Amino acid sequence: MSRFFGPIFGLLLSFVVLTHSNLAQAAACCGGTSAAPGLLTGDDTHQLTFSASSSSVIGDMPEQGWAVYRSSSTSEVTQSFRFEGAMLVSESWQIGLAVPLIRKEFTSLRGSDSATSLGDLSVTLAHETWPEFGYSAWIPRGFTFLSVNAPIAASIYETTRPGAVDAIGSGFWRVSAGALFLKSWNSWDVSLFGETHYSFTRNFQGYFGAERLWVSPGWGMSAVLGAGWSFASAPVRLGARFQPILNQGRNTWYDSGTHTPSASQLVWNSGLDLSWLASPEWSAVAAYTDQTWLGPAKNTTLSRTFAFNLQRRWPR
Amino acid sequence: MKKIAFLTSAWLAALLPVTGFSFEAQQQKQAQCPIEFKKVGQCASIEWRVAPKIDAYAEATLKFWSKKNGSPTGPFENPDCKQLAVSLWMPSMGHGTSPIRLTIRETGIIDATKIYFSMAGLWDLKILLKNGNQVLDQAAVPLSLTGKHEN
Repeated sequence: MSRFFGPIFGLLLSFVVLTHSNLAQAAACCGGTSAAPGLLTGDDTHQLTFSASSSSVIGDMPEQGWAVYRSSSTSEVTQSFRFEGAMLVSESWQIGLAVPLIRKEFTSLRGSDSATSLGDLSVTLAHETWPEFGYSAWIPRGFTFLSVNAPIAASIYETTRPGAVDAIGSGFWRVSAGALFLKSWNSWDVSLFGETHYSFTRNFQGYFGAERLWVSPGWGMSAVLGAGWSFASAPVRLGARFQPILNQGRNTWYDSGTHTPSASQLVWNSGLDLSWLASPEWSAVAAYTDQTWLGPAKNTTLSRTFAFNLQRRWPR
Repeated sequence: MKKIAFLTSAWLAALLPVTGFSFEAQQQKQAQCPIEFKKVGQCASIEWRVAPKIDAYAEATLKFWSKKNGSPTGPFENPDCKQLAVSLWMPSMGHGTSPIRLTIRETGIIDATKIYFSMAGLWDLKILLKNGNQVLDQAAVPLSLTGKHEN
């Protein structure tokens, strides 16, 4: 049985963990995220995913110089609870919706501030562009997708609370497009995900008492290379993944014309995953993501994230 | 060759007092008016009561005086505007951080609290003197937070 399910476990679970890349959002301030949506990659008609994660900022990587690590007397923690659904609308097309609930807490020796709010919503349209019709030793199964992020939550440009604890969203409409490829061989599986995103220009009225501020985040991209190994004796998979995220510098200007370009951001998520396929309908993943293992990183905070993911699927 | 060396030395020797004088004058001017608001003719200083730290709240006292009639030790006067806005901006990131709380302690002396530096790097503390939406004058104080923060 385990030999029979091995490749299926790999395919299902390898992508379950990709969705964790969304949870490892880089910065409390920046919303520097990738845009990996929760796609239906198995032989299912619907799926619901619940993810919970806790991410701690442990240091900063300035634009120039070395990483600066934070002390244990202060903490900046973001907890995320994400509900995600996907359903087939035809043989090869699917749609998805993700709704996160996010709590941010900043604690220092002088007190603590926290805020909870809905995060940015995202909707996804995906297509199974390269289905697997027959056995191939090397041709992967492939999906393409288009995803839109709606800036429901307040961003760093709209924060009113000390410690910017209410800066929960990215602040911008963002469109991302990308592809996902999955391949498995007996106990082994490999996944490759790539996307590019564009965040639209937006203005913020009276930013900190100043005149109207315009911000143009522009382009960014991310990729995930993941690999996993499923046990022969149990429906358990161990995986690892590496994810670079690059965002161009933001252009900011005021109505008066004062213009300040910012620097680009680069951060690498590295992760380990332990997945369990309880049945064809249910699976769970425990994941750890670290932004200090790989580099170079630039102009970003550095976080460590623990995440748990529970998924229910409805097979055809 | 010796002639060139002599001429160069003489030129440098002649230049040094000028440079030194200019530097000293600049320092003196900076001490008398550390933060200058040219349009309204005021100066300000900033004293950190709780030094800037990464991921912790800092606190500062701002003092304002007339460039003509005041000095860093007084008399102080309120900023020449209807609203005072003080904010942090991180140029490399293209955003700021949460609002700073301002409290008037006495005429011309304002306490700024909950100053939150969300990450290490180079920051600007922006001080805006405003009448409604109109910015009358502004100044920026550059700050560098690159070291490991204190406990």
